[in-house]
Amino acid sequence: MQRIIIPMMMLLSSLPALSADASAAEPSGKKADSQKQVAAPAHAAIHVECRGRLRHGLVAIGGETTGTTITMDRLVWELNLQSDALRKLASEHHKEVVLVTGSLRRVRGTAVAARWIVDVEKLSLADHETKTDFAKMSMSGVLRHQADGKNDHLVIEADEISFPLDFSSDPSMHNAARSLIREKVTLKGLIERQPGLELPPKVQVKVTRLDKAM
Amino acid sequence: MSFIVDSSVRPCRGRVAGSQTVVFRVRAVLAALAILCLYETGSAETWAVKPKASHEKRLAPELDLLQRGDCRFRGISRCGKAVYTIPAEKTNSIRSMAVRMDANVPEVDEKSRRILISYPASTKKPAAATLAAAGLKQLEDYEKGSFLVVEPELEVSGAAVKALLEDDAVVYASPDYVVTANPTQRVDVAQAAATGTIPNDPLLNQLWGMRNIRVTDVWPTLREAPRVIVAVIDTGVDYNHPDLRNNMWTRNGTYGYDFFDNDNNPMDEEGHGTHCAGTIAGVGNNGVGVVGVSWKTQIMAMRFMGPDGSGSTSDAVKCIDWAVANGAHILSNSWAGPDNSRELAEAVTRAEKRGVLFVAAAGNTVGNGNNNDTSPYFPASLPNSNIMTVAAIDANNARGSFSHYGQRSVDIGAPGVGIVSTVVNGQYAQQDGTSMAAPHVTGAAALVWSRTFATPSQDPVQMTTVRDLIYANARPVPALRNFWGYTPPAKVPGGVLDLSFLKTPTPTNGPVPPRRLVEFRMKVDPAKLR
Repeated sequence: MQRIIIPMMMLLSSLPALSADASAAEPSGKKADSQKQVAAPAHAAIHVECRGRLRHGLVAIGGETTGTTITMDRLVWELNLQSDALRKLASEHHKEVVLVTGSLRRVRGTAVAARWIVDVEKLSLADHETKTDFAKMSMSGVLRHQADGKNDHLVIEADEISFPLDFSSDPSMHNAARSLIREKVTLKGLIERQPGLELPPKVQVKVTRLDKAM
Repeated sequence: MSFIVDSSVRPCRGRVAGSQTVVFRVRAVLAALAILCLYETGSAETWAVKPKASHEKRLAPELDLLQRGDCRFRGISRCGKAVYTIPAEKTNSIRSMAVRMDANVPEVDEKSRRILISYPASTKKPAAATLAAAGLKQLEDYEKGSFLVVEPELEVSGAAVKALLEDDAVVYASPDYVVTANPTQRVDVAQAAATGTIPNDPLLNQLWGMRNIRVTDVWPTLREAPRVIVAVIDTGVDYNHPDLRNNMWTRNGTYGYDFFDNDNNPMDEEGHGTHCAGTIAGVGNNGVGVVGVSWKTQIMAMRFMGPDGSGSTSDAVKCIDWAVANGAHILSNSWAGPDNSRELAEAVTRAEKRGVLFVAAAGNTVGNGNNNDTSPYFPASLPNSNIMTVAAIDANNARGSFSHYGQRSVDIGAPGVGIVSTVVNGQYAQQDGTSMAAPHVTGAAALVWSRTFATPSQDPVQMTTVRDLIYANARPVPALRNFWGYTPPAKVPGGVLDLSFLKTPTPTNGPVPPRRLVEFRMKVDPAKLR
C-alpha cells in the first residue's frame, strides 16, 4: 500500500494550485469538505492513478466519447470529468502531461467495441521530476487460472473485466498467488502493455502487492 | 563445440597456458552470441497487419506496405486480414506503418494469395516481362473489368511491387480481397434484371432501411442526384471501393482532404466514413454489393478522425470550412462530442449562411440512449436552422435502444440498426448507430434537392426548402411520439424519414424523367391559354 500510494499523495499535495477534484464545484460555490469527494460509482472496483498526456475537446464516431482522454504509452483511456472545475482544468491543459486519480471501468459501445473510462476524482498537472508515464491500479476481484493454448497465466476478474497478471517483479508472489486461485483478493500493480506489438495494445497488470480479501 | 577453434586466436606473448584458456572461453562465448544474433536476425514472424493508407496511388495499402517496409505479403486470410512475413528485427518499423497488428494469424487459403492488376485499355496491358520480374503468374485476363488476376510464385516482395510500378500499364494493383456473401443475396439479381426498376445490387435484400424510408418506391422515377455534392465528414472514405469509386467527387485528382494527417489523401483507415458513404450514395445497379439512397451523387471525402475513431473539434471545423468552400451542398456528420465548442458553432453558422445543409447524428449511448435536451451532444444539439439531427430506428420502427433522443433537440428518425453498407478494402459490413441513420437522411436530402431544384446550389432558400420537404413528409410513428420532432423547423413529433412523397410531381419542377426513355405528351386547348 505504502509503496504505491504515498509517493503519489506527496506528488499531488505539492501542486495545490493546479489540481482540482470532482467535489470542487458545488452549486453553492463553496468547496466541499475533502471527505465529501464524489462517491465512486457502484460498479467501480478498479481504482487508478495515472500520469499521461491529456487531450480535451474530442469528438468521436457516433458521439461515443467523453470528449477527454489520457494517453500513456499508447494506452488511451477516456476521462469522465464530473465537475465544471475539472472540465475547466482539462480545457486549460489540453495536450499537457497530467496526473489523474479515479475509477476505471469498461463500457460497451455501439460504434466502438469497448470504451475504457476513468471517472475522475482528481486531476492535476504532472510535475517535471517524474519522467515516465504510468498507470497504477488497485482492485478487488477473483483470482483465476487461464490457459489459452499459447499462454498459461493467472488473471484477476471483477465486473466482467479480466486482467492477465505479471509477477516478474516478485516471482515469490507468483507461488503465493497460485494458492489463492478462485479466492477473492485485493491487488495493487501497474497496468502495462503486454509484450508484443499488437495494435491496439493488450494490457496486463504487473503485480506489486497481493492480499487475500478479508 | 568445434566452432570455438579459431585460427585467428593468437594469445598474447608471455601469457601462460591458463590465460589462453580464458581467451578461448571468451571467444567461445562471443561466437555463441554471434550465432544467436544471426539466428535472431534471420528469423521471421507471421503477422496479420492492417496497413495505413497508401502513399502510392497505384497500390492498395496492403501492397504499398511492401515498398515502404521490409516484409513479404502472403495473402488475405479467410476473415479478410492481410498476412505478412516480417523479419523479427523489422517488426517495430512495420508497426509504425500499421493501423493494427495481430500475432494471431489466420490461415491464408490458396485463392486469397491472388493479386488483381488493373490496366487502362485492352491495347495496353502489363508486359509479360513485368509479371516475370515481379514473380507473378497470370491466371486470368478479365477484359470486361480491365484487370489481370495473377498469383505469386512465392510471397510478394517489395521488389515485385517495384517491378509493377515501373510498367505504365499497371493502373492499380491490389489483393484479391475475400468477400463473404450471404447465399440469399443472389436471389434478387435475377429478379432485378427481370423488372428493370429494382437495382441489381446483390445485397439489396438486406437493405431494410431503403424499404423503410420508401425510397424503393421512388427509384423507378428518381434515383440520382448527380449535381449534388455531399461531404462525408468522418474517418475518410475508401475512394477505391468498387461500390463508391464512380460516385466520388474529384478535383485535381483528389477526392477531398485529410485534416487528421494534413494531406490530400482522405483514405479511410477505420471504415466508419466508408459505411456512411455507401448508405448515402453507393453506386446503384452496378451488380456489386449495396446501393445508396441516391444511386449517383458526388461524395466528397473529408477525414478528421483517425483509426481509433476519434478526432479533435478543431480539425472538424477545418473539414466543414473546406467542404463548404469547395462546393458541398450537404455535410453528413456521424460524429459528436459532449463539449460545446464556440469554434464548431461558428463553423456551422458559416455553413448555414451559405445555405449548406448540416445533417448530424444524435449520438449513441449503450443501454437506454441519452436525452439530448438535458445532456446535449454537439454539433447535434446546436440551434442552427441548417442542422437536421437524426435518431436511429430499427426495422420495427422502434427507437434503437442506444439512440439519443430529445423532443426539442432531435428532429427526425431514420434506420440505424443492422445497416449493411460498404467498408474499407472493398468489403461490406453490418453496423448499428445514429451514424448509420444520419446518412439515410443525407442521401434523401440529395434526392430531394435534385428533384426540387434544376440547378442545385449553396443557397439558404434551397437548403430550407429541402429541409422542410423532408420534415413535412416525415411518417408519424405513434410509439416514437415522445422522443423527437417537437421544435420547428421539425414538423412531425415521432416522425421518421419517408420519401414516398417524391413519387408525385412537385409544383416547382415537375417530375424528373426516368432513365428509360419515356415520352411525355400533353394535349393543349389553345382556347384555354391566356
